[in-house]
Amino acid sequence: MIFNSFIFVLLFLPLTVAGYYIINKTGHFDIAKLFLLCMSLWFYIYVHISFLPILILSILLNYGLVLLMNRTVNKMIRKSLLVSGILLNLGSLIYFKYLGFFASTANQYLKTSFTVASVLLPLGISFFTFQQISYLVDSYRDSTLKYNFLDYSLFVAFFPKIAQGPIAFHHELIPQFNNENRKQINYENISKGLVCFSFGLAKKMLLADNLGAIADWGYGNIPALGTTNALIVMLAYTLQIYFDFSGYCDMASGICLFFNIDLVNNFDSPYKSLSISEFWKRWHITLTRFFRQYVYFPLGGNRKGKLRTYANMFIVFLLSGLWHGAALTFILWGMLHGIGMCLSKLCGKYTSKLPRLIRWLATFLFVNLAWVFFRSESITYANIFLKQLFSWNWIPVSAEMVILALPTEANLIQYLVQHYSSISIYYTASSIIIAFILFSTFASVYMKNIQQRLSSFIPNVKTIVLTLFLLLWSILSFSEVGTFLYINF
Amino acid sequence: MKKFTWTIIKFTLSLLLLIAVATIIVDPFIHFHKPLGKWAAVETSERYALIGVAKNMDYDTALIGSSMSENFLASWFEDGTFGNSCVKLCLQGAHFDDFTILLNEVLSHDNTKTVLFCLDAYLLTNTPGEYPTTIPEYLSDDNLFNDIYYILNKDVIFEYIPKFILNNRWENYSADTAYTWQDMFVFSKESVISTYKTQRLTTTFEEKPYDLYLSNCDAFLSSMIPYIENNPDVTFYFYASPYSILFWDDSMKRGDTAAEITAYAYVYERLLKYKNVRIFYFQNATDIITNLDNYRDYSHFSQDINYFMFESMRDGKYELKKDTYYDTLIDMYNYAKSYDYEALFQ
Repeated sequence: MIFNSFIFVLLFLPLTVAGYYIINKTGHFDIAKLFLLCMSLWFYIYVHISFLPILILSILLNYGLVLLMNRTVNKMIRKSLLVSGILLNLGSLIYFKYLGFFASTANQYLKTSFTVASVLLPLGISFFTFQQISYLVDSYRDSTLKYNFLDYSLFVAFFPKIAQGPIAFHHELIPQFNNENRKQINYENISKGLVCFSFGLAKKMLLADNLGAIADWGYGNIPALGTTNALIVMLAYTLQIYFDFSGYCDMASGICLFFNIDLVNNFDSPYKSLSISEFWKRWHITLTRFFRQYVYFPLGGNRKGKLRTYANMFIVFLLSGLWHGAALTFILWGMLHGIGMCLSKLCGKYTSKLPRLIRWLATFLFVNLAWVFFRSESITYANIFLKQLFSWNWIPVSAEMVILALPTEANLIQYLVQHYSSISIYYTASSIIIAFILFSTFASVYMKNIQQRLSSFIPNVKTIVLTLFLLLWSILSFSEVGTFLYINF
Repeated sequence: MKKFTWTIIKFTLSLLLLIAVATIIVDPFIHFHKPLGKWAAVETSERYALIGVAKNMDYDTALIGSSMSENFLASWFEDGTFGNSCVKLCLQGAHFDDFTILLNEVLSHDNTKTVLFCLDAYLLTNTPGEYPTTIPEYLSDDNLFNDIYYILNKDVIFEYIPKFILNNRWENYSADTAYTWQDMFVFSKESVISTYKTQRLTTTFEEKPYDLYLSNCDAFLSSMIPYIENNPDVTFYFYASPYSILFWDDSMKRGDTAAEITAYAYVYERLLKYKNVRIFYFQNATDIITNLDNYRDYSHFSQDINYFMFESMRDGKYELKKDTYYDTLIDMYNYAKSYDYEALFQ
């Protein structure tokens, strides 16, 4: 199931929230948690039922390993169990996500001839694997850490965060599930949750999806872009990925608030950053946190000299790139950010003296260019894209892109303009597209993010109208009338 | 805070309900009912509305086809020859899976007397199932629950409801002219030749085996013949549109001509066994197909040609019978094979 669907918003979510509080009111808190777990599993298998055994196996395995770890004080055995657990978790991730990529890369560069059958990637495996690794490591370090199976299962499978994170830690969530003060309806949390969910949904439906149409067209027509269209497409993807991912996280946070759960924040207006170092404190915060705690620090962090510090940083970003996807483009993207991070640390005391605008522009430009590698099908296509971008070939905005990507809301305006005036459709539509890109950029760079809005939340008429407007407009966007391109007939 | 929460929930649900009711009442895709009052089934979204037209309008004649047929006016077919009321169910880029959905609906109507079906070449040469239908399932099935995708649809609310209302008010629009494109294109030899030249194959391929498409034809017939057999009181007109001579140039260069003509012959032979089938073949209207001022590209012709086809079908001209179809197609093959295409580009 996905958040942006009729069945989720109009059936699943109200049913789950209502059921949870009704059961809690009877005092059967464990049954309420069990209910939440069952609903989470329904959410999970709605995508594909074959995912369920993998999730259950993963939960049983990790919980079982921690149980065994807690039964012994022998350091060797505990370490072996930890290492086995980490290897099993990473092994499953490699099998489902990376085996095909490793095989095809080996075949290409080492002239081997491995064949790997394609497998369906279980939903959220990159997220719940890392969450469980953190639980294994923390349990190894602290043998007093003990949760019952229901709490642990709910922590892993909790539906607001299972599909796309954030990578919440067990100690952040499980105590909240058991806090009796959080078992009654809290209308302040539900109000904030509604605002948070509406904003997130609007970011996804009204911004990300429309920006995605521009990006999809552009990355499918790279050789013909010219500088004008390459710039629009590059910006479109930069904004799409932010609004899509942060929109999802906002929705997840909003949904958690309905259950009186505070979910860890994952984005803090990253495109406001003045350096790459700052960018990674604002972008996918929980992933950075995980890598820092479970990779960077164990490698030595910054305690083994400058060279080792930079090497550790580079390794972290290389792995981060790989975590994002099984392709060389993701690895290269990670490496670029690794280099950017190292340069940011190296030159920080000099660059901090530059004007804010210059620092922001340099950071934003770097991030945009790195996203080109992230989005492109291959490094070759990314290079062609950059050649188009820097070709200084200022051709007109593509008419095909404009037709395909024009938001629905603009179609009627265009229809009326066409009927009542002689202003060309192309001119109207391309102006709308450019205005949309500029607004989206402004929103990501200047406007308050949802956490900032919630910290000064006032339940007044203005907030009601805005929340209602965004929620309604987004729900109506769940269904659209498709555009079809025909060849010949 | 409690008031805030319940205000949002109540208003959201109420407004969604209001929007749904408004969509059901206006119903721009004719999904629930005929247009109310003085409203007509004017142009909205072809792919989304035509199944509704087939389902809810009153008619005894249905015109089914691709973009070749979009310039027909339904009113032409209402003079009593074919029937008294006609609906035009023509979809750009439609494939057979789209047509089966429309045919199922049309033939479920007790009043249907005539079906005119545009038998384009690609329907016989495409692999079955290669192109699944693009008509949304929630509009063609009987499941009321998935109608939510229609009644709470941003495009329907922001674009198609206003368009439906405006098109019903503006004088230039009527149900009869819905989805025609006569005024949107330039029809001229110069324009057609210059466009075609950019895509013309430079190599001529070896002629493909004549029986290349016969298994595709079998698949087409296995779907179409049950409609004919199960509706003996319905007359099926199959017509083949007059593509321009450039279509045959392209066909010759691809080595397809023999296989395409054979496909038509194969299908016609089987269809002509049925008393309720009439076949009209316009591909050999050489005066038309060699006059490129009739065309906007190598296959799409002007509305005059649609009118010519209507008149011909009404008057029984260009009809193929059991004893004439084969020779007509052989003549067409020979004509296409011997035509001096290079002279067109000088």
